[in-house]
Amino acid sequence: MRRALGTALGVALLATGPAAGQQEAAGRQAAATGTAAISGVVSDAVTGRPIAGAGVSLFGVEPGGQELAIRLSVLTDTRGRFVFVNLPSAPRYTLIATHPSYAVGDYARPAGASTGALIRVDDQDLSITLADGEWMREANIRMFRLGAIGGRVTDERGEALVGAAVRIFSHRMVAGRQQLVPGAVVATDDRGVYRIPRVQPGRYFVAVLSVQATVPVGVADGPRTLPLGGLETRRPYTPPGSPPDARGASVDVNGRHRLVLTNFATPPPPGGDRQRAYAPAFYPNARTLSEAQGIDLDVGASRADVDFQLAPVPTATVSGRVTRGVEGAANMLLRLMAPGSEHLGFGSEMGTTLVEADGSFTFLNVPAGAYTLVASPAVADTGGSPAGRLAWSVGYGPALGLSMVYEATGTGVMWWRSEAGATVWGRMPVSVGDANVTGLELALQRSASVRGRVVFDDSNQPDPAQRFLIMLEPANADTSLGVPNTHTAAYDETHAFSIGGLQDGRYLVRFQPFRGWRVKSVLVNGIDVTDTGLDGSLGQDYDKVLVTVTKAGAALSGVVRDRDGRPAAGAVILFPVDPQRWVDYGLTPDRLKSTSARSSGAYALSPISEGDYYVVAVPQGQGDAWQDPKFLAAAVPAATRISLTTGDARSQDLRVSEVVVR
Amino acid sequence: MSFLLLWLLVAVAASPRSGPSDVVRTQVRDAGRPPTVGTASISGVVVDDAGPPRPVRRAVVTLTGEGLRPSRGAITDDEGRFTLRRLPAGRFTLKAERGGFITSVYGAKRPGRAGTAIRVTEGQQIADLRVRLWRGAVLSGVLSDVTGAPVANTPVAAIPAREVTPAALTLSNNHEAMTNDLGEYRIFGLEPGTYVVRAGARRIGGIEIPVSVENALSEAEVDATLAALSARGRGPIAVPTPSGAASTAATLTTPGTSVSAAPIYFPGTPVAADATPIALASGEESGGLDFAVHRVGVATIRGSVAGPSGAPVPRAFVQLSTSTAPMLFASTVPAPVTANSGPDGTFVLGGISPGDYRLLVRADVGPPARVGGGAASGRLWWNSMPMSATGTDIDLGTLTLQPGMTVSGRVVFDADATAPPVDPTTLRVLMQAESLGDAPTQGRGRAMTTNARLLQPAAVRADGTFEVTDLVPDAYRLTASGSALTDSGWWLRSAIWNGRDVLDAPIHLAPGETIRGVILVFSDRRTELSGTLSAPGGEPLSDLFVLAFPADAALRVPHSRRIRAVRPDSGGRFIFGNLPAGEYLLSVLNDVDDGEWNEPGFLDQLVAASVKITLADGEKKVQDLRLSGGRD
Repeated sequence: MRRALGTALGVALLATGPAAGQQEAAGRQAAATGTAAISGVVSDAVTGRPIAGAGVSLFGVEPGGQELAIRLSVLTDTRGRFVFVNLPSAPRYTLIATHPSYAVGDYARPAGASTGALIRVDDQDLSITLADGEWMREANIRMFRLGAIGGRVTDERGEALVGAAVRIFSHRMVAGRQQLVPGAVVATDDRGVYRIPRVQPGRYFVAVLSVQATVPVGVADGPRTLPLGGLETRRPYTPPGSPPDARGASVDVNGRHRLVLTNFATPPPPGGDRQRAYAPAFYPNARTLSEAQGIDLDVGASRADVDFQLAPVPTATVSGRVTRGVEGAANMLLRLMAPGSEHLGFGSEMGTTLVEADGSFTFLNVPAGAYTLVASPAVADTGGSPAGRLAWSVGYGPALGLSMVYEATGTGVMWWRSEAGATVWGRMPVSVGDANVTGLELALQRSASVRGRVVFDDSNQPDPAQRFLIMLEPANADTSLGVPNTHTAAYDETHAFSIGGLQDGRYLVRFQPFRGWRVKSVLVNGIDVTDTGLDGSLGQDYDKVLVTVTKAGAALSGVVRDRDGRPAAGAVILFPVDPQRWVDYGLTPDRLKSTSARSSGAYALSPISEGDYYVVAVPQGQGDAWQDPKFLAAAVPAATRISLTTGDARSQDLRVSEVVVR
Repeated sequence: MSFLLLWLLVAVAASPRSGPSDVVRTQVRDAGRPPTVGTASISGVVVDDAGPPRPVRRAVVTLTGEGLRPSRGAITDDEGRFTLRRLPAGRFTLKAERGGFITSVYGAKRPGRAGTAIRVTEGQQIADLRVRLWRGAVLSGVLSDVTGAPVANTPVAAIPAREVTPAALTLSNNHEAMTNDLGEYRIFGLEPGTYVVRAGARRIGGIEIPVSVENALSEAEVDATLAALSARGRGPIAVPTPSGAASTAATLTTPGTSVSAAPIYFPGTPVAADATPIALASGEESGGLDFAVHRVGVATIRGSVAGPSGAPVPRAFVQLSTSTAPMLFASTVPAPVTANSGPDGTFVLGGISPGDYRLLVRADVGPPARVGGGAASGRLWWNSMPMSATGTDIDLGTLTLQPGMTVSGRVVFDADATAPPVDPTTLRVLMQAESLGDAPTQGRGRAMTTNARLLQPAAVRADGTFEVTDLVPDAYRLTASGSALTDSGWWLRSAIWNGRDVLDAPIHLAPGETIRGVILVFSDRRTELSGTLSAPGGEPLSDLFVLAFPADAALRVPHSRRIRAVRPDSGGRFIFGNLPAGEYLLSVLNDVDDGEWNEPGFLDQLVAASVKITLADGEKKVQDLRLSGGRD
């Protein structure tokens, strides 16, 4: 599931989901035919009942082919059954079941078992090999019903807050570290009611978002109100002949700044001594995450009583100016965020504003509290659509003009690049009490850039018509550092690239989107930084970076057996011997791999970079547990140590053993 | 027609009157310019539509207008009050909005409709304005499948049943909600009116994306297929299909019936015309609109494309779009289904829902066009045919293409100078196809992308001639553009062909037809028709509409540039800027919806109670209107 989704189409792409492309598939059924067949049953993993009308899609690769040549979709009958016939023999078929009320289920791998995992398995695991005349009879798929979280949001008078954004958050292991990650976002309806569907089992924190977006007078454009989750039905009145306009309404506050009202609660009118506003609230009406109460959701369970009653709090005005890099900073987006939540995506700000031409900035309506003032040339967000719409609600069109979406291992990453301030970044703590804060000085740092070229170490070069994508992933997966990339790099004969916008962190070089290609080595002045990455905190540019990409690697395959020696389905995890590589491997780990064994027990992993590894077979429910370094440590005693060099094709049979983390 | 009240008029003798013109050319939004500030103020209260009206707190009011930079906004307090200060003199629109209510402007007689402009003089303190907000109506219900299970995560749209214009396509996005895990949907903030409710069509940015096509399996089909698999040796099996024809060895076919999750309308029909309309009064909640969705059988269409010589044409672009126009439910039009012909000229269009379509095939067979350059003609071949799909597969056989067609002419400037006042080579002429599937301005997704190269405007040559090539049969609207036009005040006044102005009616290009000698006349003279509307007693009236439409019934066509409605401002003054010269009828209406005049017969019934005026080229005409006291 690792692939680049391209640029510009951005948000829309994530919304299309697995159905995209099937229209085209219907017109391409003239594929080769054969004598193999697959049949099975789709059932509820908890109740065991068959699921009627589930969509089952079969994807196949023709022998020797790289592209998906076969795509077929059926809907299960009333007994949950499906069957595909007259299939050509092929090394790899993949089955995926979809149903609006269930998590996506893959053959032989129960979806939803992997709760607590942001990063999922790679695309090697679901293979079914079919020979001529073979009929695979029990390609059964179990699906886990999804849950829901809902409630009602009211103001201090008990009146419904309409169109307010509500978002769920959960703790996940990312790059070996526990991180709070944003999840689905919806808007309240005309009764103040919200309901977030399709929630996997787990512990969640629920927040009513409330961003105070300040725009200087004289700025023509501003944040926009875009519907969240299709629940917003407001139809703005547009006089005939005027262009379509989704700008948020704005109100004057001090003659020099306006407050823009988008997908958040409208505050009381300005006036009087101190302006009041609604602060973001975590359930139950907590200001901070540490005071928040988690909501534990079982498989298929739902909560409809996660209610909020918000009350406006006194606010202050926070102002200052940027020092250094002022020229490039005009119209740069500044975000005021709770300490420790800087990596959360758009919508989690307390306030936003734009740097003015003279370098000054002003945040209106800031409640008392401790904050981090964040200025960054790009912001990445791991929330999918419609969360991306929040970027428009807090940002400024031209300031966030470019965006792209790519899919890291199992998660969508949306990346917003700032035209203004593209070469600087800055960060400082801000403490707000009862009084206005003035005279802040935000020292902007020059952001480092990386220039170099790509070398393909294979005689089969990719199609020159394609574009390639080099991405710099923050090693610690802190998306507030952005994911600087070659968003506009053309693939010319020199394969040169240039990437700007590094911030105060370490970045690993990743390569997309050619199937099979991956980074083999990254050299800076002859020094190998493949695994250590490029340090942006030094502020120095990297020139002549040589990125070698390869298709070659080692391959590992074998059979998984249970204690009695019978072939068994299970998950196979490959991880490096060096514990330092169990953390800080960015968003798409190179040396950690997980796959599911087929029901025949066969598994295969490739390509694998050279190195010393452990490989272990665990029950399928632990297939995604590799993201926890404690799990890996506990798995070592049961694991088999193996050294792999490029070109190896090794066979290693494994016994399933459950790993217990103490 | 229920809201239409037609007023009988007397024309007040036109008096030559001088005064500042309020017509200001639309300005590009002006960043960086200093805000306009004055000493006037407007204050008032926002109330709801209850009886008696209650104040609406936390509503946002916004004042906009020419010369007001930036727009001004305020939030109402707990008593619904607001004040906007430091305003310059001008003519402004005041808008109020709040979640769950219908965004409305001051003076609107109905939710969401045009209001009354507020005329503010320097230093004036306007107090006690009452702005009414109507609570939006609500549609809600539960979506289920045929087994009664809830259908989650599916878009449900409320579509105004009067939606007739393509422009409404993009707006319908705003009336959409997703079902939750319980199958519940709730669409709120709706204007009163009649709606149909539709489930199941996904759209992105106003474009409906094709629904997925799957094969629905029945128990009998699965049983039969499994039995055949058990009974066979290791060979292929005959796949049972509903048409009875077993699949051929050349095709990989799946058992079952080809179906798609095509849109289903309340109370459960795939046919838009069979939907039950829901009438909603202002603020009404219509709940319990529960219905079941089912999948609809779809067809596969096959054919092959050949050139005029009979040779197969690879990479031809094949597009199937909904044909019916005018469409009752424009927003139900799915994005065209498209395909490209293969090396042997064959193509397959899959997943075609039952309905009437137009098939259009285009092949770009010439050298690549240069962007904006005078493209070589004769590079486009086409074929077009109407067709119906019923759910069974169709084989169209061979479609023979023919060369594209041409429209040519020259531009002239209505000026005394010998040299053209605008460099002709900066001008572009565009033929916009009327049919929905072809119109480049409609942004029809993939079709637009693929055809972009073929729909480029033609550049005017230095000698003033132009040639638009590679056209296919359709009705076209001719437009001209160019940066020199927006800056200089020159505009396309007429496009004369065969003695008629094709700006007033589309050009119908028949198969094989070539049109030559179209004369595009550019002018820098602008008309203005203004006046004051007054009651029989002479007091100015602001809460009515003044409608101008052509005296010649032949020019009363939908979307005519000669039909316009305005509301007088708070002083009763109305202005029509730059109507084309000609004879007009002026009517005064109690209320009119934007575009309502496109309905057949609407204008004809206004003729008897209208005032006729003649507007000469470049004329600034003042025509006051006074109601006669009677009401029709």
